[in-house]
This record gives sequence, structure tokens and C-alpha cells, in this order.
Amino acid sequence: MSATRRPTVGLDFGTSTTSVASPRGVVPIGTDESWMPSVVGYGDVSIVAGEEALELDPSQLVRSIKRAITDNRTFVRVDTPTGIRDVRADDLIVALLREAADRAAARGQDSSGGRAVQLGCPAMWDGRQRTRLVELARRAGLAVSLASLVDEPVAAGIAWLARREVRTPQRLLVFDMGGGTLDIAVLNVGKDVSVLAALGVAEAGDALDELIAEDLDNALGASGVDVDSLSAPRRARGRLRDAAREAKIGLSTMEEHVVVLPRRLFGISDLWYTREQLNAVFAPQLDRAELYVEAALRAAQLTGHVPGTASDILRTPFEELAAAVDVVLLSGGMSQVPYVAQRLRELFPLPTAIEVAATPPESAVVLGLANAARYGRINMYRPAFDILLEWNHGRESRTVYHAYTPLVETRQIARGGDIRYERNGTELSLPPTGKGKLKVVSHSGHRVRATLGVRSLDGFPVALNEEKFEFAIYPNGRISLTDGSGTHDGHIADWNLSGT
Amino acid sequence: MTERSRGKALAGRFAGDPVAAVCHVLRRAAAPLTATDIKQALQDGGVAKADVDRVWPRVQRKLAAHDEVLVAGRTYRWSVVPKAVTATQALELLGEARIPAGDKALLVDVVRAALTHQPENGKHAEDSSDAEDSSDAEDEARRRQSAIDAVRALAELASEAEELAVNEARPEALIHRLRARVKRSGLEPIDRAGDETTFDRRRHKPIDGAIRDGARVLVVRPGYVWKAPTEEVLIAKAVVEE
Repeated sequence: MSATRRPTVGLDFGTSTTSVASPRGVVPIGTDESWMPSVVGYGDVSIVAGEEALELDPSQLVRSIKRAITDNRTFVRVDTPTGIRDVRADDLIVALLREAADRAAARGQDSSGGRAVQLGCPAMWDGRQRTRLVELARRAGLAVSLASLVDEPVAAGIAWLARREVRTPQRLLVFDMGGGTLDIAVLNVGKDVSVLAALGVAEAGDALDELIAEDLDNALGASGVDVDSLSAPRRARGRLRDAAREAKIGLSTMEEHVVVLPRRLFGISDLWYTREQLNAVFAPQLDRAELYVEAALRAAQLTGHVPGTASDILRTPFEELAAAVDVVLLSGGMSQVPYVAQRLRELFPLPTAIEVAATPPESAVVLGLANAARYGRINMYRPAFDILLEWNHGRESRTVYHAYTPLVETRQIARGGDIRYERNGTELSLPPTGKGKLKVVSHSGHRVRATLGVRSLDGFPVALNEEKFEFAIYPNGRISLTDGSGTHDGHIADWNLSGT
Repeated sequence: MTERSRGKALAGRFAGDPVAAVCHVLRRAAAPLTATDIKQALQDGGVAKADVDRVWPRVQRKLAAHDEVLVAGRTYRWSVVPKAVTATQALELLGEARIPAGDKALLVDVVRAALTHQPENGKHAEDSSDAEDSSDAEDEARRRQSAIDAVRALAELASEAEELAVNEARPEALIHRLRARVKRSGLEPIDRAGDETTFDRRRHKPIDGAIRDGARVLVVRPGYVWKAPTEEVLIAKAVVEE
């Protein structure tokens, strides 16, 4: 895939923090950290974003504004100069992105047109969510299109890929555990990066701090200290929550951590907490994470050109799926908890390497975004094109396939049988007769090479028939169309659907 | 070449490079082949079934990424169309006589896309001088951040030490916490204050005067080695006395 000579800038609009990078590395945009907090709120006169917003009263600010897109929320409630009201989340996101873009420009990363901007987005976002982010980024002055979006786990894979020469294609599993979500993606990398499967779940690090705090509470109980009976139990619990965060960080490098407590408040001066204890409270969360890893590997079988039905894939032993993975990549802040790597090491066979996507792992996404222009990207899981059916000289149309709709739903795999994305004439309310044609609209900036029979999919003539019309895309790239004239089979050519 | 010698050649090729052998089979095939077809062709060429099955998962992945193998559904086909073919290349290829029918539709599609697609504002790649112009600001931001990160580590250490002192932490707890904190910055201690050890001029510094190697000494202050990603730097030797 051809490389671009335009300088690129990567912008990672994360749930907790927003970061910028150039191909040379992270470009610091925070007032004191390399990142800017993804916090936005209403000051006395205008919307403020970043560190300044953190100084507002909690009722005046919104944390994790990105979740408004994930949850498809239009409004968020916030205290404004004109009182508490529901304000458009989009306005707040634009302010945040504009602030990040301005700071980046001041550090030599102009994102208004001179540079190719690559924006990250969760792999689980659909076309509408992606379009919303792109439109907001444009309002913020960033020169972006849908082709500028890179799935976050893909970016993490690229961060790893950019540091080495890959001679033979490799299969990667990206395990991206951050504060808010766990994203798992299965990629094939070589000259291009192909997404075979990607799923994201609200299962991540925040919960661990609470669990450690509870565990410390129990450990105190075992030492004869009942927190509820202390003179200031609320203050004591606040201390334990802080101690829990410290213990999690401390145990990333040490086997044991000493929690030092104010004797006046707790009656004892310290409590030793071990990595083993932390692992025990973290284990149920990682048990669930392993199930998601398995689901992602099974979904990847469908897109990875491995013939078979869902039933075959359900029957494939996990060991066989795991053995096909060359490298497990750790990304996100929670990857620094050693138990994550330990569990994945136990899950995968020895030839599979377990590596961090980048150092530090929480910078993997933004570093990958800054290097994304060097690689073609193919999303076989959520193809980056629309397929329209037009008739009446283009005056009427239906969307047969919406870009970024997953071709494989996890529940389809669980049900077994033939797995495919399909739409029929009744669902699309097609006319009973007439002539139409298919139109392919790529959102990646690159053409879609697909055929039906010996003809190109784009422009393929369709004999309209509401009853007979059926269109299907299979995860391995096969396409099938039944219309008034019969059934036509075709394929998407080696999934060469996007890239730069 | 006879069938027999052809078979030997394929088996030999397979032994050297299984992917090359499969590519050879695909190049010679008149139509797209399924995995079963390919495996059968290899066996017909004298390769043992067990050998084919053993390497097939690896070969399959390489085929999926191969520049000249087109994977469509369950079939594999040799294609002369490069994956990143430009419109000009497509036109040239269409002009060649021996283009397989299956490739023609793809090439036509490339040319059509090029004719209908307008280049983005006619912009071309920028000169690298632009990157140089911006690199000063970028470098300056990084230098500032490095300085902040170093000072922050110091501030956090001071803050933690003060908290531990006020909470009357026991010495072993205090030392454990401080060592854990600096370890996160890659610092490994040399010895422990109060311990006895043997003098080693490479790791120890006398608090006063000179000490011969091998003498028994008392550690006054530990030293530190910084384990950076690419090297080890002796930041401070442990201070000792006889």
C-alpha cells in the first residue's frame, strides 16, 4: 500500500484523556501532563475544556464526554451561566476538540489542512457514531473525513507494527483495557492491517480500585479493625480508596505493597497487601475478559478466510484458535497490572508472544494514529462502505448495507448455522417491479473492488422485485444477490477496502 | 517434463517453501481453487497428505496476505492485478493480452473509479521543510514535558515521604514505599543503609578518605543504578564507611 508523504498528526480523543502525536512520538498538549483531560464545562462566560474545566464546580463540568457518542445521547445536564439545563453534548465535544487542536497547532501540529489528521474511534462504533465524530471534528476545524478514522485497537496494533519490520504476516490479538472499556481486536498485519474481529465491552479498570478498597477493608477487619466502628468511618473509607489506587500502582513493580495508615484514625500504622491478594480480587474480571477473547477469536475465524459454518467454529477447540495468534498486544493503562499479562500468558501457548503495544501502553493508540498513514487498513468486520440500491434515475434509493455495520454478531455465532449480513425486499420496501442499480459509496477514500458475476458490484443492474430481492454479505467476502432475474454470486476482492 | 518429474519438482518445491509450491499450483490452475483442490494438487504432486495438513494453517494465512493471490470466499486464485494497483497500471494491464477474465472486471473498476474521483483540492504531498518548521515547537514541547516529568517524580517522592513521616510509618514500611516509588522510574538501589558489606570501588564511595577493595564497610547511604531501556547508568554510588 502506498505511503503518504503528507506529515501526519494523530489525535486520540479518549474517554478520560485526549492526546496528540506525530510520527516522532507523543506531542505534549497538557499544561503539566503530556495529555489533556477530556473534561469540559461551562465557565462564567463560555465553555472551557481541559485542565481549566477541572477547576469548575462539579455541577458545571462533564467528564468522559465521549460517552455521549457511545451512548447516542444528544444532551447532557450541566450547570450553565443561565442555570441547570440540558445542553447539546456536541457543542461540548467541539469545544474540547478545538482546544486540543489549538494546543497541537501551537506545538507544530496544525490539523486544519496542512497535515493528514488521523482520529481514533472505538471499534464498536457504528457508521452514525463515526459520522457524528467526524462532523464534530470538522466543526472544530480539523481537516478530517470518515477515511481519517482509525479503530482504536487497530491503532494500537500499528503502534507495535511501526517499531518493527514484519517479514511474514502476523496475527495479533489486541487486548486494550482502559479505565472505562475493554476492547479486543484480532488483526492480521503485514503491509496492511486487516481487522478480522473487534469487540468492546464496558468491563475495565475502574471497578478494580473499588474491589481493592473492599479487600483492604476486609484485611483491616482480619487485623481487628472494624472501619464502621472507627471515630470517622467516612474519612477512613476515603483513605482506603486512595490507598487502593496506590496499591494497584505499587504492585505493578513490587510483589508487595505496604499501605501506611494514620494511626490516629485507624489504630494501626500499616497493612501489607500482596500481588497475590490483588490478583484474587481481579480474577473474576479477567475470567470474563477471557470469554471475550474467545468470542473475538471465534468471530475472527469467520472473516479470516477459514471455511466453515458457525457450528464448525463453535466446535473448534479454543487451543486451536489461540495457537493461530502470533502476538498478544497489551494496550491501555490497566495492562500495567502484571496479572493481565500473567493471565494471557496462561491462556495462550508458549510460541505466542505477549508484548506491550507501546511504552507506556496508554500511549499506544495515539502513537499508532500518528503512524496509521503508513499502512493500508482493511476492516473486514465492519466494512467501510455503503451499498445503495437506486432506481427512478437515482431519485429513489434504499441503503442495502450501512457502512460499519458488523457482518458478524456474537449472538449469530452462538446460534450456529450460516452467518451473514442480509436484507430483503420487504425490509427495504422495494417496488414490486422496475429496474434499478447498485451503487457503492466508499468512506475510506479508496475504491471498493467487488464483483457480482463478471460485473462490478458498483453499477450492477437490479431487476426490482420486493418479494424476491435478497442481498447478503458473508464475513469471508462472498456476496449474493437475488432479484427478479435470478441469483448472482460475487465477492469483495480480497477485502482491499480501505487504506491510505 | 513428464508427470512423474513434474510431481517430483512440486514435492521438492514444497519441501523448500510450501507457500511457493501452492503459488505454483495456483499459477497453473485455469480456474479458482478451493483449499481441497489445492491440497489434492499437492498430493498429486507427490507431497504426503500429513505434510500438507501440518503446514496448511500457516500457508493459508500467508496466502490471505499474498500480493498475487486473490481470496474470494472459499476459493483462491492467482491474480496479476497488484493489490494497490493505480489507474495507470490498470490501463497498462488491460492492454496486455493474457489478462484472466476475472481480473478484467477489477481493472475496469479501477479505471472507472479514477475517472470519476476528483483529487482532494488538487493537493500534493507537502515538502518535508514544513515538517522541519514544526519540529522546533514539537521538540520544545517534549523538552518541557521531560523536565516537568522529572520534577514531578521528585515532588511526588517528597510528598510521599512527608505523608509517611507524619503518619509515623515504621522504618521498614517507609523504605519499602520509597524504594517502590523510585523503582517505577527504573531506579534500582545499591545496598541498604545500615547493612555491612565488602567494599567494591565500582559500587561504593568512601564517606571520607580511601578504602581498599575487599574491606568490610558499613553502608551509610544506598546508591542507585538507573535501568534505562537501552543502558544502565550509575546515578550514585552507595556511600560507605569502614
